Amino acid sequence: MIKMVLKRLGQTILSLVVVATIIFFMFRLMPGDPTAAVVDPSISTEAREAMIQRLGLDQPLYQQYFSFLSDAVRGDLGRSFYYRRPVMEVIGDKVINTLMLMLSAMLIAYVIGILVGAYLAWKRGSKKEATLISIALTFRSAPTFWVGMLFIMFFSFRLGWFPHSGMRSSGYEAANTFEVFFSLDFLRHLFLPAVVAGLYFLATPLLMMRNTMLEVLGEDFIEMCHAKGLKEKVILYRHAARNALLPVVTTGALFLGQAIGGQVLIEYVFGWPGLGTEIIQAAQRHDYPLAQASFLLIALMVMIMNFLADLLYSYLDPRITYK
Amino acid sequence: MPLLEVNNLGIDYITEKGTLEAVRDVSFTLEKGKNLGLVGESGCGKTTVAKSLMKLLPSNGVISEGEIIFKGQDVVEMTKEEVRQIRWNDISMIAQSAMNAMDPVYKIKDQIIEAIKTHQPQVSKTEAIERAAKLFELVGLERKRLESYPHQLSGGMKQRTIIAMALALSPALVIADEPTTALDVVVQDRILHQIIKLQQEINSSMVFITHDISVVAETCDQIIVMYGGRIAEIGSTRDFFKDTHHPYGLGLQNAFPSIKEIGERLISIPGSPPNLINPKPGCRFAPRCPFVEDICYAEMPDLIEIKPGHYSACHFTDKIDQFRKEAKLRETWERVKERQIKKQLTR
Repeated sequence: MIKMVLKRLGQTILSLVVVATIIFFMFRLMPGDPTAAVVDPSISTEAREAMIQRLGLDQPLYQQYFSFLSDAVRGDLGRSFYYRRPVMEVIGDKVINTLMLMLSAMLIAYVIGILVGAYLAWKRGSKKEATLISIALTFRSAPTFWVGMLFIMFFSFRLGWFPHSGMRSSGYEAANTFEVFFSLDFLRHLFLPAVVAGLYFLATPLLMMRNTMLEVLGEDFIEMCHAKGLKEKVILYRHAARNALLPVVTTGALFLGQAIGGQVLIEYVFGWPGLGTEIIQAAQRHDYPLAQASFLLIALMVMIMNFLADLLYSYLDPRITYK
Repeated sequence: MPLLEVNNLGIDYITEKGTLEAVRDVSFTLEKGKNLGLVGESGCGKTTVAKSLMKLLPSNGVISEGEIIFKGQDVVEMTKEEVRQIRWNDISMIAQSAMNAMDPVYKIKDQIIEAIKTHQPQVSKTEAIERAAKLFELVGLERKRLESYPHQLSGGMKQRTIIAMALALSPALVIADEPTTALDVVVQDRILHQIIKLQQEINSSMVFITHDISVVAETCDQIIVMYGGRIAEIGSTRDFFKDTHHPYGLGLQNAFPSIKEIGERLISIPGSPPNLINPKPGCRFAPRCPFVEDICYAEMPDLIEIKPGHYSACHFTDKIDQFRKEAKLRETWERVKERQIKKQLTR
């Protein structure tokens, strides 16, 4: 087990270096001028030169690359060209904001998806099945900004149950760190975007759960469970669903890894101060340090989540052991 | 009162191509402590009959007629919940493929305990474990195996586990659906004897499904030979082996080797079982029968009593002596093959 963890750790570090390299060159290969977004285009050439020098962009590419790597190893991801602040400071809060939103959305999508997906397999061929699948697919296919606007219109303006945008009411001051994310005010702001995103993600776990469940329900041990006189609910959830869970866990882990990139449209519609919008703007502004850090973070999350999924596997399926 | 009484049982499978008449006119009785062997080729309806006893048919299977009286109650009429309560408690099953009959993600002990606690919730967990350990001792497994997961056991061990599980609640009736087919011959024999010994200990009855009639000869008091969803012959095992009356039964006996004729090629029955969707009129065995006559294609034979308790569904039970002599000869069955080829050519 420890050997496996160490091996995976080595693999992760190696992959990260590869990813960092690709990201570094990818942004520099993009056409465009990094100074354009930061300074006034009408500025004099000398000032522009000075700017380029200050940002270190006048050095040969390989020197830039090695100083990027050596800084990154020390945990320093540089300063944003645009904000002129350390990158971690810029991203830090936004990562947490995005994660809060995406984790809630995922919780909604996977809890509902797994339970309902299992139920659908049980009720295969019924009208209920057709209806529920259609609903899930509708939310998957509809543009999220449109669904988001409908939700805002209905729940926020008509019914007035939830605030329409932002993360907190203006003037709200959290009494302590805990309340920053677990106050009623925050949760009320979180509800609508999380539900809309959750409904959008719902189809994947739901259909996947249903399909693997159908496979499992045809297995011999399920007939044996019936023969044993177990109650239907016990067979459905304790035996069939438990066995069908594995592939769903994989997609869940991969999803969480990507989720840090956020859902730009949802963040935009609900005015959520998340990372999604930030990444896109960073790429557009040629804000290399910020874009590099964001993408590196996403890669790291995907790897960590994959690793956790592997660990979870050995717990969920006793046939899998790590040596 | 017999433990089990099946009357005129008929079972259909609803398929896309039409209704498949899987089982028709099956009747038999089973006394407490006795064993019944259900024999026949794949698809003859033996497993369907056995599973219907605990209403374990697949979702497209329906009991279309007849009754299954178990301990004085008609299983066919029971609600789902009533059936659930007699399952395992009164009727348990030793599954066909022990390899996959256990949930791979739970320990063996949890699966046995689950069976016990479902029907006897008052039993404590430690008591249930004790009982499981005792059962394991009976089937010759070490106690520590209770802590294993199914994939950690060998085929024979799994089969023993299933047997232990099937006997956990001392059911009145055990259905053994080809319990030894997946095992090698040496283990087969040992496990077979174990099943019989244990079953006698708890004095339960057993329905034994197999396509190997030698197993029936060893273990059962009564035998039903099924063909195309119907009973071809039914009687005590002794009568059946000494005094077979149905041509299909004669053919089956040819198809198994006996020690005396080592090296001799076995005689098989040419052709394949009938299609049971819109079956043709007449005897279902007619196209493969070496003694077929016109009436066989026209009329379905009734079960004719040969002597008390021994019946055969053949129009010509009186010609049995001649049949028996000819059935031993290879030429007799070759004739059937020629007939079938000719028929295919003329079609």
